[in-house]
Amino acid sequence: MECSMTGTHALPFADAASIVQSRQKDEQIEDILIKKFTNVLQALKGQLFTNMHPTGIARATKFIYLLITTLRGVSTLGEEYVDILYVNRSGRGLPKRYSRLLFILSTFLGPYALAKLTKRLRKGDDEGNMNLTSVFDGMIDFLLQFHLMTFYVKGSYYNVFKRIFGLRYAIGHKVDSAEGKMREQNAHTYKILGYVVLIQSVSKGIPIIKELLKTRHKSEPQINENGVLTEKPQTTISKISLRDPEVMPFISGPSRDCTLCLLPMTNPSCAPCGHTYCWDCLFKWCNERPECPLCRQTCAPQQILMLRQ
Amino acid sequence: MSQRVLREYRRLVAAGGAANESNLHPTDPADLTHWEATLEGPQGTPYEGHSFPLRVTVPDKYPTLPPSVCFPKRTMPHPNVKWDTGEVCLDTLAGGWTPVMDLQYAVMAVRRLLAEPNPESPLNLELAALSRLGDHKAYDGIIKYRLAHSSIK
Repeated sequence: MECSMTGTHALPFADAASIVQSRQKDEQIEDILIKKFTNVLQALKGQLFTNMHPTGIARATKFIYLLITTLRGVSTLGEEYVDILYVNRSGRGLPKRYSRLLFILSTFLGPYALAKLTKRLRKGDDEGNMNLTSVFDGMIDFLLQFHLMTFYVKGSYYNVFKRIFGLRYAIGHKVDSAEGKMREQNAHTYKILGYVVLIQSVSKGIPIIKELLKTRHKSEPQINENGVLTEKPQTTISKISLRDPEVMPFISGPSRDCTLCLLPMTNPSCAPCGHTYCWDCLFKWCNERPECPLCRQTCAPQQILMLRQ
Repeated sequence: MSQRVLREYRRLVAAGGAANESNLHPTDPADLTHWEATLEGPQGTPYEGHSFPLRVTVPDKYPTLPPSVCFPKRTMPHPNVKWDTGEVCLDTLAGGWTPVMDLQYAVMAVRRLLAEPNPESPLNLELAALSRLGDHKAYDGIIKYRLAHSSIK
């Protein structure tokens, strides 16, 4: 525990258990407030409005709740419930008003910014930058998990933005030895939880890092000195073309041609009846009418099987 | 435009004239959306001795959608052909179409229709009624009369 770090005039830092408990209490309160706020808006602007903007209403409610508690320097109901209060990083003073304001603004605007950024990345994906969104999402996920793990082990900051702006919790009363012992035990349980999260995030992070290295490796040889793409980005599934006589030699002579496009089959795929066509040709037709073009036996698009070697 | 039509054209050219009884050919080889064929009147029918031009139009979504066929207007007296427009009613070229069929198959289906009319889905009510009544003399007579006065011999 970090109680030993605190000096004579400082309050002991709060432990993970009480911070989590205060957060849970606050979430309860926020839920009640959101319901009340929604009711008011429903009376003022109608059912349609509240149905269309549920997340916006929830965010606004939380924003107002933080404005009238944290910004004013008053405890939220959850903080009061477990008797904790904000201190600065060193634990020797109260956090500045502007850092509290920045914290509130960033919790309000952070999700918006993230959503916008993801949208922009996704647009980039469409233009050929495969996997960028998934890598980005993975990184954010990984960072959040790492943050959570640190919280469980050290009991410091539960919220990412509180870490950034240095809003730490301290216990608002004198802790006697019995309470201190109980808190230490609780902290121990949270530490174990922290290591479990660590193992989980590492096992999740390894494939993401691998993918990141792979995409970098792949994209390098494709771009020539003029910065022009020289190869098409590789798709994950390679095409099977019966143009090559070595491919699927068990399909003989004229059967290698697709009866729909009259070319050697690309990605030969069969309907439930066993008739074989190109994947694209058969899929296109089954969307028009779900039956085999040759024998008219039912063939829903999801029943088409692609042959693999 | 589907690449399929181009491949059908190449196959037709490669197979040679003998395999192409109806002389199916594109109106303009540079534009494979409009085709023409000539149907010979089947033996033993009132159409015997006459030949009929048939227009075939290939839609953009061919072969997912069937080609549409049409006789020149007021040239084909037939229970399943609208006299004034030349429109053909044939299940193969509507709900019965599947993309394994090709243009040549479509033309052959129309030729079969000349020998075996289907009075159950008529576009020419007069002929269909006579056919259903079994008045073959009147039925054949009307067809022969129309053909004799048609501009196409």
